[in-house]
Amino acid sequence: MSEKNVVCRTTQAQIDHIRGTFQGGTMPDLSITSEVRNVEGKDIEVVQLEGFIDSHTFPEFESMLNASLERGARRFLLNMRGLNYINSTGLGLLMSVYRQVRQESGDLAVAQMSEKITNIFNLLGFSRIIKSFPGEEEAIRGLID
Amino acid sequence: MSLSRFALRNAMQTHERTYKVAVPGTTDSLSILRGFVVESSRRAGLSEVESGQVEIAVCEACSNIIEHAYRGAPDKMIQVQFAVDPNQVVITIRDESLKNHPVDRVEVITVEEFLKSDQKRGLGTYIIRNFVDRVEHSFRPDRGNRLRLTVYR
Repeated sequence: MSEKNVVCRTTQAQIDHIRGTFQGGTMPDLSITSEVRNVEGKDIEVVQLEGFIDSHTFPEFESMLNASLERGARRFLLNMRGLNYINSTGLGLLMSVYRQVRQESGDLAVAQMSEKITNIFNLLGFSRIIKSFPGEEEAIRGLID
Repeated sequence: MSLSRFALRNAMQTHERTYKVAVPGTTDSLSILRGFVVESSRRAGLSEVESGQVEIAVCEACSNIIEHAYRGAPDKMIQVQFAVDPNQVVITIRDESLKNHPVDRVEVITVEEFLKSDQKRGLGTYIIRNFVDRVEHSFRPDRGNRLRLTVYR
């Protein structure tokens, strides 16, 4: 093989096979559901994330958070129980939203992060800044205290 | 076989195991690549935490290729190879870009700087450089970029 052809071609059938092998079936790319809960007079936007946040799904995540901010949401709880991956841009957006809501007397917390994402949070120092809780109810208490 | 010849033969042996995948350089390939990385990491015996760090480092590198080098061109490919040795795992990422992207040398924002700034972006290169033990980049216009990420164990 020529040295020039270092990146080999993969047929569509092979790609479909690889997709079937490594994507693991029915998990959605990214599913976002949110509801506003009023706890002790304070509105909390509770966001459930399922799937992954990468370059492919980031626009959906960004649109959702921006729409919530435009509606006036200032207290966010992101439940990451179903989230198996978040990239640097998603993490950067989280920090950006955190900074914004903190400047406006709001807050942002995360709950039920996987061990893998918790490690990334720790390595990047995010866990020193953004509150993280093992469960949703503790996180809600943390946001209203 | 003499001991010296045996030693030489062992020294010349290539990696014990290699796993390789090549996918189109588009964002919908990233989940495939992550699945490949997680499975290869498992086979290589990396811990879940190590695997998570390799996963995000590789995915950031591939995202950079897709967004900055290929700019969505669907006919360009990305190849990722895992080479597993007893003492290290080497992940090699190759692209077909005509542009040099020296990930190991570009200026990188530190986490402290990022956390103090208003920036949303800029962590990707930091992650690539700090979540594995060694990062080496090479480029030739006729071959594209080659990024080698090494995890020692």
